[in-house]
Amino acid sequence: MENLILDFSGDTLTAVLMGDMDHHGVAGVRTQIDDAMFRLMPKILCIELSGVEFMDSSGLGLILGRYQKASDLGIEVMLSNPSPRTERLIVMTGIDKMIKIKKKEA
Amino acid sequence: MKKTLTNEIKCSFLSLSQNESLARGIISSFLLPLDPDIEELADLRCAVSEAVTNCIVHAYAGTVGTITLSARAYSDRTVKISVADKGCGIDDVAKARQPLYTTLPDEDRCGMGFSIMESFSDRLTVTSRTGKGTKVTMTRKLSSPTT
Ligand SMILES: Nc1ncnc2c1ncn2[C@@H]1O[C@H](COP(=O)(O)OP(=O)(O)O)[C@@H](O)[C@H]1O
Ligand SMILES: [Mg+2]
Repeated sequence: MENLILDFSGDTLTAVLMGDMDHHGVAGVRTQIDDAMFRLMPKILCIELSGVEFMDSSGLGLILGRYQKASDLGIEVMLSNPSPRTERLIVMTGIDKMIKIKKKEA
Repeated sequence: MKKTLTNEIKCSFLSLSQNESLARGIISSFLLPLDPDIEELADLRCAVSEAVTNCIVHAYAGTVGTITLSARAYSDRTVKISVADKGCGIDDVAKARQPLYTTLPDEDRCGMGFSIMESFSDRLTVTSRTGKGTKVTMTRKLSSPTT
């Protein structure tokens, strides 16, 4: 089951996460996003969260890990459309103080 | 009024990552007949997922062992959920429970598992013996159903 779509347009790499972002779900997603960042060197990495059905600290670890990799490469990260539950975890971890959260109408 | 046990389950499964969603499914099926609030259900699903993931990535790191999930429901709407392993154990539980503490920073762990279990339950107890295993128990009182 595919739980990631990558899209590169302009200078933005968008990683659309879908389904369960638990330890099982993030395993394949992590390297795919990292590979695309290294290959494409975008200006911005946008992580789209509206399709996430479940998230726990493994998903938070995925976000933080990508943020660290991106920062090393000089890539800006933003999070897009987290559900209220996902946002609650993001705030609990303090990720909202490091990474910009963008919300748009569906 | 004395509180009585109204339901109890106990099941074991291997420490494979696909069993994280299995554990969430089991706990949902156990809780749903108790008519939990959507947030309470989501909180407990997440807390169970954290506990099971810890057994897989820490307790049995690099090996496969058995995880036991048990749950009890009481007449006062309290639920008690335990996740136990026979893995490596935790040397210093107080330290492990601190927010952002992780022994696996290189694997994108963020050290928030215990903090999440704590905030999504009313009480979290962790008992562990080095080399013997760990058991986490989460207690939460469900709110009265709104009709
Ligand atoms: N079941 C377990 N068996 C052995 N060690 C554990 C277990 N659960 C947690 N730990 C230890 O406690 C630490 C903190 O756990 P947690 O808060 O879930 O953060 P994380 O899983 O991100 O490391 C872990 O890094 C690990 O060292
Ligand atoms: Mg954990």
